[in-house]
Amino acid sequence: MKFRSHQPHYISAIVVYCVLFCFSNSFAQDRSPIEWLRAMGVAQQELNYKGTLSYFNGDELTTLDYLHMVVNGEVHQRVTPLDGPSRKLIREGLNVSLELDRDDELAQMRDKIEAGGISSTFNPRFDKLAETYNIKVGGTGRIADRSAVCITLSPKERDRYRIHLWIDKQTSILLRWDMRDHDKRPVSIWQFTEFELIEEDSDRHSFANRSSPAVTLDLQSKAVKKDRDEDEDVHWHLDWVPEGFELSGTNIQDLAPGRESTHNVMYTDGMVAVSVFVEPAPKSHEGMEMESVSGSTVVVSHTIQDRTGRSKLVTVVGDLPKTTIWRIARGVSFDP
Amino acid sequence: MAQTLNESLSACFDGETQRDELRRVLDESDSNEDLRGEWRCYSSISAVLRGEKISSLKSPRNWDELAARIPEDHNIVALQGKRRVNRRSMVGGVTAILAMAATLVIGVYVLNPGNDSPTDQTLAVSDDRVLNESAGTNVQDSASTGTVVNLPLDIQQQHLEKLVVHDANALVSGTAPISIPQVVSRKVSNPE
Repeated sequence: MKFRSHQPHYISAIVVYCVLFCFSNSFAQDRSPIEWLRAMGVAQQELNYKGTLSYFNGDELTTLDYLHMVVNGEVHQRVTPLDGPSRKLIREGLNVSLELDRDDELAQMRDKIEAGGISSTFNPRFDKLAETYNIKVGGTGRIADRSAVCITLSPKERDRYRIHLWIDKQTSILLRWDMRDHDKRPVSIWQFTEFELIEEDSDRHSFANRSSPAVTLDLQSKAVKKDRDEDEDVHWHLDWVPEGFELSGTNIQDLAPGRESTHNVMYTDGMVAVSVFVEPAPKSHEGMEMESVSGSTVVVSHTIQDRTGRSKLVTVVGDLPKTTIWRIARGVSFDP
Repeated sequence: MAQTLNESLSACFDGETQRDELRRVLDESDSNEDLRGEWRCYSSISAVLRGEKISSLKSPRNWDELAARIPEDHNIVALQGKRRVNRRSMVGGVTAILAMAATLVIGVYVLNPGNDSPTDQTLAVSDDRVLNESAGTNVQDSASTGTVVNLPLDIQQQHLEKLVVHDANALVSGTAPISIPQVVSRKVSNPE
């Protein structure tokens, strides 16, 4: 015997939702900081949402349109700045592309980093964050007209910045990222100013029906993680990374047949990432030490000799204090 | 002549120069590349000893203008409203302005000819001695490690490439929430 009425199902669905909502809210009140971080990680992998983001990089303010969807278990993201150069970032799982106007300064890189990207199967272990950060619930507030709880991560060492994560109480989605230096000056902040949960299919067409950009930068990631230590061509190592940072991915990029490869490794502590690149150094750069700052991100380069005496350019990129980035860069050395 | 100028320059950074002598050094620096090189060296050391961040400071328009800013009593502190200098209540005001002027004139101004606005991407080449000093100290926030100078265009481009690759990888790894807005916001320089 089968019941054909839809009404009982409809009512029961509402009841289940209410129970779950009350239960989740009740549970949310009792979450530890680590549980909040775990819930944040799960929410990012399961929920669909969109909104408007404000981003302050320590120097400038930018507004972005943001769409986040989970399609067949894969995270899809679309990020479109509403000011500055006309760009669109499309992420579909491990594939990332950047759509640009022809005169965009990033467009010049099309041929150089098309094969870039890094293998990444890193799963964040939020419990390990407690080894290098003091983590606590730092209060509650309102972000994008939603109730949020603030999780504060204060580094135990001065080799990284303090982070405040504002997490939506109802959905556990990260609503605000706030990174400060040790004098509590803002290093970078982004937050939703508008936020909306969406149905799975409501914006799927946004990814499928793309416009025809003048230039597309493909930053495709490799699906299979490659252990750097297993690669015979890699003979360098890092003497030091900040405590808690773990290898999260590697990449070896062959620029051209017969030429030496560019090696790229990424480390992360679960909150911020740092990339190290080792490649042949142009003769004109030998002995030089170079440094760039882009918002909160520091890029440093210097040259070292490999075991055969050839000059290599070491470049380190990350959202860490300059002294930390330089220490990592100076810790790159070749095996004897 | 060159030796005399170098001695005057050294005296400037030691806070032992007279007003006219300082002005002469600044005027000469406008056209003397060697003197600017010496200036860079002294200013690197001064900046690091003060633990100052130099990347976000604006450059003066030119050396002559800088020379014209020297007050009668040498009590120079504010240049383009640099709160860092004010906050630190530096006694050696002359030294401060000289160090800042040197680092920025040589750096940002050259990178962006005709554009005095601060750059999003400040580029630097670090002096070995300065870097060795900083490596031996404790980690500090945003500590400057060297002198801002012009950076080859290919290095600028390489750094930008590395930034974009880093952002994309961080985004995919899902372990760096900051990367969400960063990857579409990178640029070499500010618009006019």
